[in-house]
Amino acid sequence: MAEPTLLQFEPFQSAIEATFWHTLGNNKINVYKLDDATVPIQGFYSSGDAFPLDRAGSSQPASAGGGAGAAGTAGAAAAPQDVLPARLCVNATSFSKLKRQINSREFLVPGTLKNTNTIEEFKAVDKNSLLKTITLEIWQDILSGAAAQDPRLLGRFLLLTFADLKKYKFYYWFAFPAILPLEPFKLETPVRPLAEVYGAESHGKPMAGMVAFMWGDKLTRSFMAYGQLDRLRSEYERFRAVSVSPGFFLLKTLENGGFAIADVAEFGTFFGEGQKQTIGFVDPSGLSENPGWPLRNFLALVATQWFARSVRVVCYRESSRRRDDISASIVLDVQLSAFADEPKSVGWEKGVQGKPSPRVADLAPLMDPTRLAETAV
Amino acid sequence: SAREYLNPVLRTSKFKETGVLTPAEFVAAGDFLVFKCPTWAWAAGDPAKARDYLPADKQYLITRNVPCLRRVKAMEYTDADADALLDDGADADGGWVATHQGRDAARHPAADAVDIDAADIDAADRPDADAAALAAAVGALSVAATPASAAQLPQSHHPQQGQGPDMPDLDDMPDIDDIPEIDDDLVDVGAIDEEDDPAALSSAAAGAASSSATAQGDSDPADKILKTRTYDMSITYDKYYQTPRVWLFGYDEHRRPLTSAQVFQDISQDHAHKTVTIEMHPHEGLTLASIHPCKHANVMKRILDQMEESGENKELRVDQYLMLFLKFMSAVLPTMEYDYTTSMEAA
Repeated sequence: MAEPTLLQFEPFQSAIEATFWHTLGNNKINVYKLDDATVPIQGFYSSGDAFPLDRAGSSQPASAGGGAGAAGTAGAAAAPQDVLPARLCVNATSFSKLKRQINSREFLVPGTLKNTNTIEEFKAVDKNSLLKTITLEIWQDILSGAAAQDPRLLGRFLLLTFADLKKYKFYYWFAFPAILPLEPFKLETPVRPLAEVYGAESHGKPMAGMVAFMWGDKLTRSFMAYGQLDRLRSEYERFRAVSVSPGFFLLKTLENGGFAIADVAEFGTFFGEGQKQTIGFVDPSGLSENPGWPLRNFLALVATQWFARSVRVVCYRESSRRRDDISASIVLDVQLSAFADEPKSVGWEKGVQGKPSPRVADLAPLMDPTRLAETAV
Repeated sequence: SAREYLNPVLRTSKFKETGVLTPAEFVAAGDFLVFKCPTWAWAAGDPAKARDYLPADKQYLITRNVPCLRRVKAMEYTDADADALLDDGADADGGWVATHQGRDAARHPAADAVDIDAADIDAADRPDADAAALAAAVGALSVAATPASAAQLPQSHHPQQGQGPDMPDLDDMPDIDDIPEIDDDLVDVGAIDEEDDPAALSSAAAGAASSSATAQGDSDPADKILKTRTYDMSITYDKYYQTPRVWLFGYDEHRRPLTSAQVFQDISQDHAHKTVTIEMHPHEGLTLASIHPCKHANVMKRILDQMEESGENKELRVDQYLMLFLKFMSAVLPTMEYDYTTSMEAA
């Protein structure tokens, strides 16, 4: 294919835990009352993960192979596993102040809650202008450098709600604004697994795995890949423990074959002469060909703040089942394009039917005292 | 509850003797679970409901978005299937649950009546037979299956059908299809004026309007995103029974909360009828389905004994308790794909 492939992102799916509604209901009665001004909240996501279907024994047969190093190039049949949706969660803790979580696998995102007083207001509120407001905030943070200092600001989301506290019905609509470039971004090369890109780049010192050279080339390479990924992972663990926003980072390889990871703010000075500019983010998607939503505004930052026209992206994915497994990570080479002075955005979540539309959660069975009395022991 | 409130906190370790835990041991076991299985995390819960015998930030354990691909209720078991599963006990991985027995009992009122007669004993004695069967079965999972322990299973007797008036009748369960797709209130929500966004992977469009999508290639990556029920599963410390206790909150494939009746479809039908109750979560203001802990200590004690007897595990440490406990829970929740991955040998 001569035509470069369009880079497509997996949208977030919202996940509201019932405790969020419980706290919102309390706040509505005791704090906000009839005030419908916006309130800062926070959500969180965690790394995407492949879900092995063999254990579930369902539809798709789990064929051999897979794992690190298995070729997953575009068009070819990808690994025989499904993924869990990329989820952005909110719960009772979402009303506390955004702060740094230490060594957590959950990555915080600031958001804005707009709770309306009536269902009519919920319907009537100008959704286009709400989205535009948040988009402008993100865009301002990109231009001002605030987002470079704390890239979590790129993920600002919007949550429009109406809490019918008499019926315990909660109406809601999420928006995850993504700033649109003039031209959609393209992939310069097919998407590759992390091990294929960094496992193959061996420098200098032989690693423990090198003893495997006598077992044949393929095995040697996969051993080396494992060793390299492990070095990358431990460098990331170091970074996670010290960074304010460990969900976004810069990456470079070192002379000795190791890796260095730094905060996004250092973009201007981090990379050596002629070195491939490589950015990384903790990816809520688990798809073998697509990154998750947080990358969109991250790329907007990189393209706008540092005028990058081409970057390599490490979509960092930690296995939910094993702490030390990052083999589901993928690498993209992305061709960036420019942004308008006042860029447009998208982001309203699709409803049950696949079109943008609000959702409703009926918690009467779990919260309504009269219904509870029926099930009480 | 008052009963729990009045019961003193357990202070001395008794887990080897009776299968119960002290709060400190619960925390130690929780720390170990969080370390071994990264999907589990500690939660503080509602500060107003915090228990002072547990650390403020370690009130209970939670794992979110646990996929549940199939309904236990829908699983059809033939006798051959059941035999096959029992034969290779070690690999059965939770599949041993003799679900068909419960189903049969439910279908034949006569059999049910006999069971109730048999169950006409003091309630306190009831758990034993069942606990034995469970212990044997879980033992068969984690230790090498002995023919004897496996053979017990088909005959294991469950005399307590029909107890628990709070249980929704399975026949009254609403069909999932009955639930309307969209709320009528929300038909008119105002126009959303959004740009076309070719860079967004759209999953729903792949099914419906796919003329352009199909042209691109054979497989749409969005098809790989699992659309399935999920559960938020939490483990609290039950002060009265002095054991961990499991709570479930379910969502359908569109992330709408499940009703209790729907949650019951994902619990082994044996247990759904007698060991699952809908109660107030001790740390959140919600009522959730919970696996009642009255038998937990008993079963855990048996599992511990079996593991010790088998000799494969030198000394079982108390911090491994929750790993074993979750293995035992997988008998009750056979289709939930929660994380208890690490084998005890590796621990």
